[in-house]
Amino acid sequence: MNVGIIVEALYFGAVYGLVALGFTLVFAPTRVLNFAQGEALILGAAVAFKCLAQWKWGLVPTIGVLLVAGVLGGILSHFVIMTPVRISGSRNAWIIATLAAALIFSSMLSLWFENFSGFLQPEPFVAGTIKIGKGPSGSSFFDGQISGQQIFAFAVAIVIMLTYDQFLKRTIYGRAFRAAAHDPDTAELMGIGVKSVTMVSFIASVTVTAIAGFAASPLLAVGPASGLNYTFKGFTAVVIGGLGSAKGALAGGLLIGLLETVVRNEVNASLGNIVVAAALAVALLFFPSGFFGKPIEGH
Amino acid sequence: MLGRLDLRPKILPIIGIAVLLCWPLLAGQVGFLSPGREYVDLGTSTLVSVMLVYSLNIAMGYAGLLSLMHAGFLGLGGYAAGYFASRQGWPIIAVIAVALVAGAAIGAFSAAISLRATYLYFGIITLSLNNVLDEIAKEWRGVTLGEDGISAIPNRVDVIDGVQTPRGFSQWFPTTPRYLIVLAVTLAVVILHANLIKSRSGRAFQAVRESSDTASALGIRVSNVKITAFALSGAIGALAGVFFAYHRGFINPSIIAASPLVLFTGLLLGGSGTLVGPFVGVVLYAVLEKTLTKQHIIEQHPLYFWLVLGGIIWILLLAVPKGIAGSFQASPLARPFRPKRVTVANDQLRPTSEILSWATSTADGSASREPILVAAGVSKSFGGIKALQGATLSVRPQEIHAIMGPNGCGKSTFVNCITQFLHADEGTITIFGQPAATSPERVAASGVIRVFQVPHLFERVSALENVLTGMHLRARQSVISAMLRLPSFGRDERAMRDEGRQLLRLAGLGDKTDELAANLSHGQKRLLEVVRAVAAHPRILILDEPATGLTSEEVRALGVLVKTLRDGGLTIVLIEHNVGFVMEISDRITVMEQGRVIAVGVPTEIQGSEDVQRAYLGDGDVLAMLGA
Repeated sequence: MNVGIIVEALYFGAVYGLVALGFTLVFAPTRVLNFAQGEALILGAAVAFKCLAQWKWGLVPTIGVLLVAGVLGGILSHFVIMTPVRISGSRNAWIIATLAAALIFSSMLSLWFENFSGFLQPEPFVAGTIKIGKGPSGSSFFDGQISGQQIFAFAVAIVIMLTYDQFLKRTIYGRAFRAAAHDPDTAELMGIGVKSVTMVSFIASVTVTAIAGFAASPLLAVGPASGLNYTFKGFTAVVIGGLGSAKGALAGGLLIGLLETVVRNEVNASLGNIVVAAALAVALLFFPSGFFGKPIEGH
Repeated sequence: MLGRLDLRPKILPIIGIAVLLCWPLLAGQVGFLSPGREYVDLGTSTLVSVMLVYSLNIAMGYAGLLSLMHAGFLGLGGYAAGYFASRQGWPIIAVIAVALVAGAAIGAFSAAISLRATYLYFGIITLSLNNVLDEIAKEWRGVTLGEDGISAIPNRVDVIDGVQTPRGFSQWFPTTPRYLIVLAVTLAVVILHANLIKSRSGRAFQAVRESSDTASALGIRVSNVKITAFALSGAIGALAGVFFAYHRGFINPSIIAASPLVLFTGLLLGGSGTLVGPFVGVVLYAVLEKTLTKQHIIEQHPLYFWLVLGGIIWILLLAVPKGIAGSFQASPLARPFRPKRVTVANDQLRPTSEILSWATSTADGSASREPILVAAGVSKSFGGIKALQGATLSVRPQEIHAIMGPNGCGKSTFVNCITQFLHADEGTITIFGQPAATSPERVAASGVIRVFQVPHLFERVSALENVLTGMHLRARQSVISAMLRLPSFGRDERAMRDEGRQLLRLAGLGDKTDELAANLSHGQKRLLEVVRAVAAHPRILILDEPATGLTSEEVRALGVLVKTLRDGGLTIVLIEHNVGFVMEISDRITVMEQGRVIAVGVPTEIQGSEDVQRAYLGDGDVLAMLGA
């Protein structure tokens, strides 16, 4: 156990937290839990890998492509998921709609890298590692290595969370978002275009998660088909933190990252997952709506 | 009149069973389905999935419990087969018994720990439990052999597979004993499931799915129903797992993880909460999957398989948003297969005293006018708001007792406290001389049934089914007799249906018996709710603002029904705004204002009371202006 492991935990926590924020963004106005959320993370990593490693572009055009991909991905997700949900009216329609979306997006990503096997891992674009402490890494708590990329990914997550929080609290659009989340029918009557709120939420959701994939890609070993794994991690984070809250998403993500990384490093590599699964089950029994969430009535 | 066999709804299921029995023949004879044996095996694995999806249908389709852990139940049965059959050499019957018990136990446990969770959170808890099961399968290597899983599970189902059949015969009918055994088990599961759904227990499941408040008002124990439904669902899921493992010959975590797609596609595309939907959905999925894998392009590029499959599922979701079975049942195509409607003709209507015999008999016996429902000093606060401040009520047998008062005076809170949907901070409530029970379903069981202010009908089933659900407390049919359709079940069910029709006829809904509740007008819905409550054979009936939003004609019909019930021996507590209606039909009236009772008496006394006039119309100046 050393400071390097803690920073690694924060880094994973930031990634899970941003996937969790993606979940929350879509869930709030639609009550849909998007099983395709992890695919957006892979999209970000894929863009980073394609532009930086394969086409050797600079960082700025890559970020441009990333944002465009996020917006297009959001529009596509909105279409694929919300069309059947709106037509059906069944409260279970979201399950199969998002499962179908996950299948479609995951196979599209796999097809994009059809003749490539390996991880979507560009070189770190925030170079360098910081050595902390005087002794060799791990000899005491304060001896360890921190990579700049980890710090960068963590910082990106914090900035996005704060921005989102301020947006919700301070702007009139934020109020419209909260109203649409609270009661879509009444919001519609107040002149808020709930449909556009939903569309924007999907765009923000996919973009945020894609940014996480981009910022984390150099260290995160993901393949084109590993989206579902991150869907479950982000899902766990958002549930522990509480659906519908940005603070909860970050807190849940950090908690999962910490738990998993510490257990993996200190106890047993394969025990990490079982601890996280059990922690979620136990946490839900005592905090049925997460640490920061409010109970969802009527769902 | 009612017992005669109606064959029309049975035509399609009989055709389906015939096709399944002849499937090996088809697979052997039709040229493009070759080799035949491969298609028989496809049939076997499809039937296993059918079983699994029926188990999900019980939990999700009927009881409304969002389950994301059915993959876990499948794995439970699969590993039971893998460990006990392959590694311990147990016979299949013992393995099945273990799987059923384990599935039921884990199902009951999962539901019991998440009783308070609403729809989505129930699903999330089940998903996390599923992850725990998945991790156990990966990590408990001594039993499960980890990620590799258990292979070479002996095919104990194929006890007579080794027997040589004449060559020509096996070409012609390339069946395996396994197919026939799995078919028999699956049909048994489907038929028992259908029998259960069309009985007291199945109606209780659906009542809980639609609204747990309504269910408990009718005396249904919501917690018990959830635990029972999920235990049953888990047991059948594990049973499917046993055959899954036997048929495939191996079990491992990744093959289990692949099952949610067929689970949800099968259930939701087929038709969730319908009797044939899961079967249709799974067969459709199997046909899709098989057809796709046979395509040349997919064989060249396997990655396109998932893209195309996802796309097709998505398009089907748009095409049949209610599921195939749901859309079919709502369409004119289904008309020839619907059961015959049975209506009660005028001359078949029995005398009111006979229909309401339970109330009439008790009313005749109790000549005393002692109050049967007494509330004394009831107080209830919500934060700083004192909704009730020492409210009192005394209801005598066989009277229509109205509770009236301006908006926000605490009428509904009072009723919620009496029926234990809310717990009073202070005060005592006595029902039939006993302290009131402490839960809504026990109050209902003690003979007090309430109707809610907002209509709480079960909209997706017929008017008669609504009334039958109301009979939950007094139905005398065990789960076993319902599943096996024993004669005792038939007698009870026929008597209930007969009485249900009579009650509907009594309320003037005789021609709406088989109509979906959702299709009734607002007034008819209110009447149906009263009938459903009466069907529970209450001695006290509490109606919360039944006349709200009704036309004057409908109010009149409601008044006639309420008076008929009173004359039949029921005691009625009526919470109402509509002063004219109250004055016309009540025997006695309690008037409330700001959480207190300000007047009690017969209608003429209340009309003369200055306190009441002030409460309704303000102070004297206004009264003077109105010329009062």
